Amino acid sequence: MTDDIQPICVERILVSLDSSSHSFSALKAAVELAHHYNASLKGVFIHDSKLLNLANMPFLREVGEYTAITREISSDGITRGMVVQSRWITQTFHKLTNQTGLHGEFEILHGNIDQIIDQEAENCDLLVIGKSGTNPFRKRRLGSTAKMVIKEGKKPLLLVEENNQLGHPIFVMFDNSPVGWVSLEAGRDLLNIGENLNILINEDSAEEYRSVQKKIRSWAVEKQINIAFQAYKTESFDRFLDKIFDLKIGLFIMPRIIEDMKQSLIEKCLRRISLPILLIQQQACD
Amino acid sequence: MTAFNELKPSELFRKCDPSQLGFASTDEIKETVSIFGQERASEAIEFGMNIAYPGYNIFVLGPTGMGKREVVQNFFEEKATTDPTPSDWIFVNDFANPDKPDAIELPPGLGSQYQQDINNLIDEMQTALSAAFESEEYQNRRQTVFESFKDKQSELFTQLQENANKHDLAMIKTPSGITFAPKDEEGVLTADEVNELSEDDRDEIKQNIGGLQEQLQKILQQVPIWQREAQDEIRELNKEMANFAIGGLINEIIDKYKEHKEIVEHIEQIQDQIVENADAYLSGNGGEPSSFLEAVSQHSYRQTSLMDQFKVNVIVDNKDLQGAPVVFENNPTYANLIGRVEHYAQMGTLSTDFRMIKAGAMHKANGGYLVLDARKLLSQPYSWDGLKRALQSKEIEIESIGQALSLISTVSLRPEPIPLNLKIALVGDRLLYYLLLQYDPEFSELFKVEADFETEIEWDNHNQDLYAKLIASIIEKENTKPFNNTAVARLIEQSARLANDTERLNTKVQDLHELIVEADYWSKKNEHLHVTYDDVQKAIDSQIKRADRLREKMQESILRDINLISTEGEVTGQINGLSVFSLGSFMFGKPTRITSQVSLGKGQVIDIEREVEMGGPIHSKGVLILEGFLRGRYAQDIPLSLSASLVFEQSYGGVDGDSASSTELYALLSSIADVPIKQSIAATGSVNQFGQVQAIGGVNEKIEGFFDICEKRGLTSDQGVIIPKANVKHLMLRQDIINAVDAGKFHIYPVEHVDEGIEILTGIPAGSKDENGNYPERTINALVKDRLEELANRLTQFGKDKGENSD
Repeated sequence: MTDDIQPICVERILVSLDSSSHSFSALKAAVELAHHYNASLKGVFIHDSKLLNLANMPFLREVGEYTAITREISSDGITRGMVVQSRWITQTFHKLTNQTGLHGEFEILHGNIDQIIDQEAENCDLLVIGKSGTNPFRKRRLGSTAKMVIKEGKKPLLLVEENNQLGHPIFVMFDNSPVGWVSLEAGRDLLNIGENLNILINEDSAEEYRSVQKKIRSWAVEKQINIAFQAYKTESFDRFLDKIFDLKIGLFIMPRIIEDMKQSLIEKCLRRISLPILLIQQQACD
Repeated sequence: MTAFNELKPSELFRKCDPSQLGFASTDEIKETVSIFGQERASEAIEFGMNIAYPGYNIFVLGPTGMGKREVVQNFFEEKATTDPTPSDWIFVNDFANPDKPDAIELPPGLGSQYQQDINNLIDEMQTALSAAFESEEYQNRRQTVFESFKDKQSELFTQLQENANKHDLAMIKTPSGITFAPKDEEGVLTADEVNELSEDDRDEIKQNIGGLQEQLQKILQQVPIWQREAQDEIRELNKEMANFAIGGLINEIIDKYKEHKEIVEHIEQIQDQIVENADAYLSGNGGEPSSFLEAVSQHSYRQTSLMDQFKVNVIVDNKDLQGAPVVFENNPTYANLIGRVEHYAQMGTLSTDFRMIKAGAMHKANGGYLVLDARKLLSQPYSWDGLKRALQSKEIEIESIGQALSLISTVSLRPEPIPLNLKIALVGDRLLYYLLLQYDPEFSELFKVEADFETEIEWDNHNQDLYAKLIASIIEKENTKPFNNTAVARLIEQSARLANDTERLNTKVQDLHELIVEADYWSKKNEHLHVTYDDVQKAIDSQIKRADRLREKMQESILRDINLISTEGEVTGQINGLSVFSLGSFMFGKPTRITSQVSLGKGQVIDIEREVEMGGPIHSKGVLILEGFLRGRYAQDIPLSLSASLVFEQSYGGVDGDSASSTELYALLSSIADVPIKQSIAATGSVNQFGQVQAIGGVNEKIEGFFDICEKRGLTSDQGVIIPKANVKHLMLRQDIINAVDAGKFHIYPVEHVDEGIEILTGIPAGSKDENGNYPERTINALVKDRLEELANRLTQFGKDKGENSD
């Protein structure tokens, strides 16, 4: 049954960076994963054409984020600001990749962020981005780019929140779908020897729960790994989220499409879990 | 020749009788001796060491190689065992004035213990603080504060966002701020789209944006206030947690050190620091950057942990010391003596803190004894001044030279001075002692005790026994083979030779030490069971051979007739003088031709060496004495009407000393009397105005120098040396010379007066004055007197002739 299911194959990782601290954490996680998978890493920073457009708009002014002073927006000012940001990011990218001896490539691109990420993601096996953007008031909300890639993306996606770190424990939300099995394999692949893979299974239906549990047990025996089950009911899922809310190191793996689950459950996870979240797309198991 | 008084072989060397030593081998000697013949110096050191008044430090003076340092160190070490062990000293941070670290005195051993306790406390505090700050209670309370702050922010933001949405405006983050832009269902409008809008619409958008910007400004102005409030709340929470976490640990250590007030204060300060700045002491993210800006600006310089400022720097640790310390500082630089504050480089600048304070020799010796080499001390810049300053102020203040001279103005540390109480022994040669005494007025106040080492002592049975014990002690210390009694006897004889005296022994331990070690080497090479007479002799010979290159060259130059020295025949006004050369500790003699010329003149003896400024003052004095002798003996009633010149032939390096003055007089008398001098005889000795021959130095080397030339040319049995009689007691000649004298092939004539010498040199009697003041005919003195009278008459006649001619 599980013989032909393989973990995700990662040879090229793309990390899309902006100047936010979420993005910085994403870069660190991308470096770690590249190291683990022995993959190449490409970093991109995109000069947002929308921002440049703002400068041409009459009567627009900006308010200083820290000074609260209102000032003119100029095309030059925005360009210079983006150049400075791209310089910091480039330096940091090379510093981190050099430290770990990775093959890293960095590119500064210009245009519409969503479109460029979509294009660039075509050539990668895994996309890593910060969970939120630079907006000061959206520290814990999904950024617009994150929303877009969750919605539109076809590649496995790692979302990383600021000050959180990729590591252990590893949680896998399992839904008994083919993508769910790929998620399990991805979790197994990232597991340290002797550690437990924590598997979350819905037990709204007791019978189905037992059947799934049985399958996973035999899979674990076959793969010679330690597992721990965490049963939840849809209505009590919040309590589980509360438990792992404060974890700063670890990984939460979930299939992007979970059968029989409401979309709100995914959104809840994305909103309430601080740990890096690896979303396995349908395509990963094709 | 035999008519003259000459020395017998037994008078040329004093033998040490091995059978009188009382042992067959040195391994029979059990008593050890470390100091020999230095009663005066020993008493001085003993006195200086025990007197407990300021300024009674000791200057141990004497030539190098006497073992002065070892002796004074032995005295100190013996005394130190009965002295109390001095305190430990530690430096701790002064949190109010970090540039002035506090010095704390603790009983011996407690310094390192306190250091260990503080290190443990730091570890435990870190664990306790981590536990407290990672506890659910703390995290919840902290989260509540942050959430409350975020909620307030979020609430306003949501309102703002809603207002923006209401007006179809998007809130956008720019690289340096936030702006609002009109949008529709497809997103933010482009500039062209906006321009296409009616003027009224644009005005409305503009107005709406203005309103939102004002709201945003108010929110942003409010944020820092809330942030501050949240931080204050967190700080209070941290204090509460920190106090709870470390309170028990602090009380425990305070209880342990409650008898030490300064320690208790230090611990209390640590507690205050941690409680006040608790969040700073949390390990946090371990210095990991959390943003791109931090990552870019982070450098890999030394990260000083904040906890490090609580550490203890033990600069004097007497934990393992029994009694008082005795320290010898071999490299007394200013920093090695007074201590220093080291620095570490951080981003191109030099930084320091109290942990970088390093002790100097004075710290280590405080409460005990410090031994320093005076020459090394004086040759190190500012060391002498630093030492005096510390002794005068009775405290050690660590201050860099740059600071002391105000050469640098960078911020550095000024550690609290430490009280000084120690005894110092400076070891140096006499010249340094007397120079310091003369030129440094503070010296005599700070070094009141003078321990002067003797260079030689009397060779009697008692000292001979002591010397044998000293030899045995060195043998034991160096773990060499035992010496048999003949070897020891040879060492004693060599000691007398080095003292240049048959009645004295040399006390320079270094010479003896070297000879013992080298004799042991030859003994091992020759596979002898014991070190024998031959091994010692081989060691002496090889020492000479190693240093002998120059002597050999000089002798070669004479033997090749480049340097003209005759050892046979007779010549008027020409004589072989003897000079001595000193190359470090190696001395050797060499014959030098001295010639004299006389003519009619005004009664002066010209010293050519002086005229060309190659003669030293003592040599010139000797020549002037000759003039006095001639006047006194021959020109009482006639004018001294000669002009004589004297020169050391082929001398290119200058001459000093008066040991050749008798020789010069012989040459002068030969010239005046026109009587030839035997070139087979060399002469040495100074002379006074009455013609008495006086003692000179280096008599052994001088005789050996002439003997070597004669021997290499072939001994003729009429060769020899005239020496002052007063020097007979200094003769410790080589065995080959003694053998030659014994065989009648070489002669050594001791003389008391030049009359004896001139007779030996010319074979003509000197002659004594009769009651009429006349000398017998055909005597040297008569010939001299006659010649001088003739010169006087000629001078008178010459004056008359000149007067008549001018008329």
